[in-house]
Amino acid sequence: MAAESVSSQLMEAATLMLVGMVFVFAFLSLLIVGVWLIAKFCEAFPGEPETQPSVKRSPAKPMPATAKEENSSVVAAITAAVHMHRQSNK
Amino acid sequence: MDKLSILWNSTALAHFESGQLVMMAVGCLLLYLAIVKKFEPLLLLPIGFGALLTNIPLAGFTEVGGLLYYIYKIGIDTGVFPLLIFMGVGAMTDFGALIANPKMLLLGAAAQFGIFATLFGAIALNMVPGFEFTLKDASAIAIIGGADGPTAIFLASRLAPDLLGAIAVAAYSYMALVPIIQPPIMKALTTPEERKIQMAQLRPVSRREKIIFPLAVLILTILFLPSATPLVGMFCFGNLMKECGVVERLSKTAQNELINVVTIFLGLAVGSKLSAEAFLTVETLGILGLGAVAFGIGTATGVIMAKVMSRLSGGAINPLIGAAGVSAVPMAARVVNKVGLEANPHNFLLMHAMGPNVAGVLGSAVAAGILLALVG
Repeated sequence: MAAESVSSQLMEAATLMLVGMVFVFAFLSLLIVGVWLIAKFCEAFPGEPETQPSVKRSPAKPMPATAKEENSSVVAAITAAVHMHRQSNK
Repeated sequence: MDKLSILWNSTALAHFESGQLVMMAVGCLLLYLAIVKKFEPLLLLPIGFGALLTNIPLAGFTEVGGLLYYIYKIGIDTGVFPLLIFMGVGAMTDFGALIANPKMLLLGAAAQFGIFATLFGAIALNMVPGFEFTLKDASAIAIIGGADGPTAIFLASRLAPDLLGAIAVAAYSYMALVPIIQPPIMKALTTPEERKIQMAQLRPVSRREKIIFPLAVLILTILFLPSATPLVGMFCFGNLMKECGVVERLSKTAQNELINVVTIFLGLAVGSKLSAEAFLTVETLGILGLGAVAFGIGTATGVIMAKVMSRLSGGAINPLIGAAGVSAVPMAARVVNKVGLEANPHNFLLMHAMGPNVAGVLGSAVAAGILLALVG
């Protein structure tokens, strides 16, 4: 009887393995599509707020990571300056 | 003479049981691993000390009215502590590498096979006399393969609270052993040429994408797997706090002060589960063994999946990064980087491995949700 219950448990575990893996793959594949859609959306509608981070990003990237603290304040100052410049040129 | 015997009976010496001494030795071993070997010291130190406190005779730390009893009751019985930790982890996680290369999610999914294969293995162990794992026990043990401490503790507290001590200790010990367990498996499954593959640089990811991403993950979880929303929800909340940039104070608290406070109590509470009657069983040996198997299988399937993707993409993916799919952030990614550098000293895989690494966190949270929905 014990052996029988173990084999039925094994069957259940095998089903769980199959269902679980299929679901994990399905869910994360869906997320791939989601991320792709987000990327497309952000590409299609860069929008006004998007210009700011891109300004922020381009000078931030090539700098070495060591001067991070200093960078962020410099970047903030540049961003603020660019923003003000844009505002005054409108 | 009467007074003397009363005094003797109020000392611990008169009441020590052999099991308690053994468990105190286990506690000291954990302290040794944490302090000398630096194995996940942030967790193993409080866990080891909790084990010492729990096994003191007459002190009653884990009985009603005892400190550890309440800490466990409030924090782990309710599932609050692991979820708060998960929020902090979310606030520390950068999804940039994953958003830049979303295909890496497949590696995070493949590595979860370690969990489900171990579930099968735990049930198969029932054929050995002395083991009697129910499906719930087996699920809680299997989640060790997710290589994610808070997820393992959360699921164990829901499905098999009796095994929680052993499961948590196994999960954190193996996470510390990632640099030893993974490289041989990675090397066995890849050729030197494959290990030398350099990957193209990732595109920059805009702040907007990083803000929308946690919300998208949450919406998908709400729609398809509500049982995973406690874990995924707190994780996404933490991540949104980090990425939105308007609540820097909250984000800093979540990833520093709060997570530190909770870690102290979580460790002590897990240690309180290391009592002789709960830990000194043949099942603990089974759990330790199964945990190692789970890690190994997860690493192997991650690497195999990465190999398949490498072939399909015409050699644009280094198969080593598949090993990072078993979460264990950021240790697994560092291991990938190290093994990659051994094959090719100019090949820095760290950023590429972070993608599957954070995908593995999501993957194990999803797997935990599935187990909760189907078994819990």
